[in-house]
Parts: sequence; structure tokens; C-alpha cells
Amino acid sequence: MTAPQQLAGPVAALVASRDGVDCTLGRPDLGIYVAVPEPGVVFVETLQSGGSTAEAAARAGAVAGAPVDGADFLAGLTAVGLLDPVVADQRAAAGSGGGPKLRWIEGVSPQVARRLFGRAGWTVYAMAASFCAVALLVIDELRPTYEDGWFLGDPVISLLILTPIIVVLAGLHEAWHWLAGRAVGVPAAFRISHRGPFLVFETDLTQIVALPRRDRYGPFLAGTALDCTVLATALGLRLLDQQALLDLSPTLYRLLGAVVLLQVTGIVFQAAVFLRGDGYAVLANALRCHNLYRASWLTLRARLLRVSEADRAELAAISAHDRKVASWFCACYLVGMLGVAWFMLTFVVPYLISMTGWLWANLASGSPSSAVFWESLAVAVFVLLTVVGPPLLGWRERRLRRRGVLM
Amino acid sequence: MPTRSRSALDAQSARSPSAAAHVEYNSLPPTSGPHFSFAPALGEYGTPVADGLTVHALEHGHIAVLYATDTPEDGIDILRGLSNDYPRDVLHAPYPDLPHGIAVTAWGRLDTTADVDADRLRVFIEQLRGRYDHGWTGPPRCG
Repeated sequence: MTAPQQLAGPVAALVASRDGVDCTLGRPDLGIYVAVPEPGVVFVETLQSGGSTAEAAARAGAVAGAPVDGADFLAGLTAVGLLDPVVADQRAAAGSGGGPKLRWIEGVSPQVARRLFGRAGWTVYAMAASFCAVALLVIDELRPTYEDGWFLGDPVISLLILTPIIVVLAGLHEAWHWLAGRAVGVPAAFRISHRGPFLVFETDLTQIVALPRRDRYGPFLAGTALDCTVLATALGLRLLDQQALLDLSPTLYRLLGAVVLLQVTGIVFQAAVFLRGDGYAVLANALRCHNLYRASWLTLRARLLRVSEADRAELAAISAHDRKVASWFCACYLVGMLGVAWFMLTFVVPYLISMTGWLWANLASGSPSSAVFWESLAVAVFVLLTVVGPPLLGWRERRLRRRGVLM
Repeated sequence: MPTRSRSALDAQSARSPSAAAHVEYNSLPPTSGPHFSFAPALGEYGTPVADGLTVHALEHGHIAVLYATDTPEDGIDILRGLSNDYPRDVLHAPYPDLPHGIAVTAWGRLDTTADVDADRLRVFIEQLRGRYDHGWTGPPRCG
């Protein structure tokens, strides 16, 4: 018995990974990944190497130590969508509406990428991270304050100059994830697109599940590694200037202070394991979890608030291992949320209050014939979109998902 | 050290540049009163900083070291060194309305000198940095 001809394409598109007892089958083009026992991976690998369904079932049975029903297993794969027809346009399948791939960066070879993530590269990143930690802990003068965001006498011009810097740093962060994925052989994709009015950098690392868990840390940590390197550079230059070993222009010195503020903010949010950032990916990987975020959130809600039947059912459907980890991790989750609230109150809220006060005063008392009025209006729209836009887009995406329009 | 204690004026009345144009402070440079809603980053400024900004920096407990535009370069270098010694406390900038010399301000405190006197400035900074942050932070350490 051979696998049906129409399944040849979908079977070839499957990726299989082993990591100890954890095995995964996935369709990166569809974004579907399913944990399976090891005989399932053996079955698929046999089909992919040209074996028949009978041969695949025999080899899988040898691993399982019991007979395997090949047709039944194929039916199971079909039921979860792993054997759906191959879609030529992956973006259409993902429903992301994402922008085009960046061919110039996609052309970076794995060999080139590996130079950035070899022993020397990670040594540099580790030294940069260590320097940042020591400098910020020991040298009070290097710690950022929210005032550092206004490095010029005009907050509007400060924001106008910082905005492209923020975009470039965010793009580099994502590109470093992508390059690290490239370095370990993951066929990742890097795209620039938009969600509503927001410029979005997307790194598709979904195929990383095909790697053993120990090999996934590099791509997960690469973005923060670059952030630490940029932060260390800015801190180092400011420190040298403070020690009169370097003579930076005053504006550049203060601009570096704003960069320190941006990078520290970014690293704090990426390290916040309860915000589903890079820190979460590292922790979930280390704890061998698949859906720790939802499990922790639902567990916390169940302990502190009333939960709906749907929430209870969702929690019950999450793996027992994830629920077990979530039973203690939800406490860390709560403490972390309080920490982020402190950070928001210390840095973000004062910045927004001050900026809002400035803009409101200019709009209320300024003349429409003055430049400051129109600058303030433009920035007011920008700030409004920045603050209100993401929750609105998130709400829209949840609605579209519920209606099945968005995957 | 001459000082002029000031009570806070209506802090809401000069939140924009157009409103600030009509504000009259009762000292030169001002040590309290109306100010813009955001405070500037500290450090050296090569161009004058608006009073509405400087006063907000003072309200956060920082020190403003302001110099007349005829201050010699070696004097400015000394101020730059002070600024480097207190990067979390000092803003220093030229102040064209000052006819001559140096003015150093903290919230409700002002000292002026004809020349750059680093020791005197350092005492002012040490005594008054962090003394005020939207309210007095401790007992007076000087007059």
C-alpha cells in the first residue's frame, strides 16, 4: 500500500522534529503544529523518503513496540489539517496581509549569519549585557529617567527625531532574530508590513519547532542581544564623556541618553516573561511548555476572579504539563505584572501626561497660523494612534478571528 | 549666599510657548513659577533653554547653571566639568538676559557671581540638589 498520490505534496511539506520525548509535526506554510509520539515522526519520515504507507506503519510499529494503523494515522493528520493542500502563497494562507519579503536581507546566507552568532559573537553579546547590568546597577548617573526622552528643548522635535530611531532599532531587533534563525538553518522569513497605520516588522520563526529545544535559545535571545549591544554602546559613550575621556557634542550626549531610555524600556518589556516577548519564549522553551501564557493567565483568573465555562474548558484543553507549570508560574506572572505597572507609572505615564499637557496647551492657546500649533496637532494624532491604535487593532483582530476571517 | 524664597505661581498658566511669552517671573533667572509640562533632559546646552523648561527642571530638584553670553571659554569649560560631575543634577546653558556673570538656581534659590567660582557653585549644588521634588524633600540645609 502506498500513500495516496494527492498526499505527496502535503507530506513533503511536513516538518518533523524530535527533542527527547517531545516530537512535533508541522506545516509551516499553514502555521499548524501538532505534538505527536515518536512513532508518528518515524511514520512521516518514512513516507518522505519514498516509503509506502505499509512500510511507514511497520517502522513506526517497531519504534512503538505495537502495531500502528497507517491509514488511521493518516486520517488523524488529515483531520487536524496537516495534510491540507499546499498553498503556493504562504502569506495568503497565514491571512496576515503582511508585506513583501525583503529579498536583499533574505539573501544573507547561513554562513554569513553564523559569523554573528558564533562563539565570538555570543561572547560580545554576553559582555555587552554584563556591562549594561553592572553600569546601570552601580553608576547612578547612567540610569535613565523619563526626562531623557526630551533631549531637545522642543518635545515635538525630540519625538520627530526619536521616531525613526525607534523604527530602526525595532527593525534591527527583529532582523537579529531572523539572522540567528538563519544561522541555525531555520528557513525564517523577515517582512516589513503594517497593521493599520503602524509599521510592523515581522520575523516568522515558526519553523524553529523543527529544532531541538537547546538550539532554539539563540534565535529567541538574538534580538535582546542586539538591544544590549546598542545599549552598552550608548552607555559606554556617555560614561566616557562623563569621565572626560571623550568629548561628545552636548546634543549627541543627550540623544544617547534618549537611546538608553528606549533600549532599557525595550529590554524590560522583552524580558517580561508574562508579556509573551522574547523572555517568555525562552522560559516556555526551558520549561518545555507549549501554551504557558494562556495557561498562566487562565489559572490566575481562576484563582482571583470568576471564570466562564469557556475559560474553564480552554484551560482543561491545555496540556497537563503546561497546567502544572502554570500552577506556580501564575504567581510570577502576577508579580511581573505589578513590576510592569510600576515601570509604566515611573516612565511611560509621566511621559504621556507631560506630552499631553504640552500638546493640549499648544492646541488650546496657539494660533492656527503658528508652526507650533500644527506640529502639536500632528504629534497629537500620532500619540493618539500610538496609544489607542494597538488596542483597537487587537480588538478588530479578535473579532475577525471569532468570525473565522483571520487565522 | 543671597537667596530669594518663592512660592509657586499658577503652574498651569504657562504650559505653551505662547502663554509663556506673557509670564513675568520675579527673579532673573526664575527659580519657581509657571512652566511647561515637560522637563528637559539634563546636561549641557549650547543654546538658551526656555525659562518654562528650566523652572520645571528646578521643580524636579535639579540645578540650573546659567551663564552670560560674554563668559569666557575657559569659564564655560569649568561649568562643563561641573555638569559632568553631576550629570543627574545639573543643566547648564547660556542665558542671554543675564548681563554678566553666572547665575545658579534651585527651586526657590538663586545665587549669582561675577565670575565662575567652581567651589561656590559646587557648594550650591551639593546643598540644594534634590532638595525639592514637587515639594520639599527634607529640612533646609542652607538659608
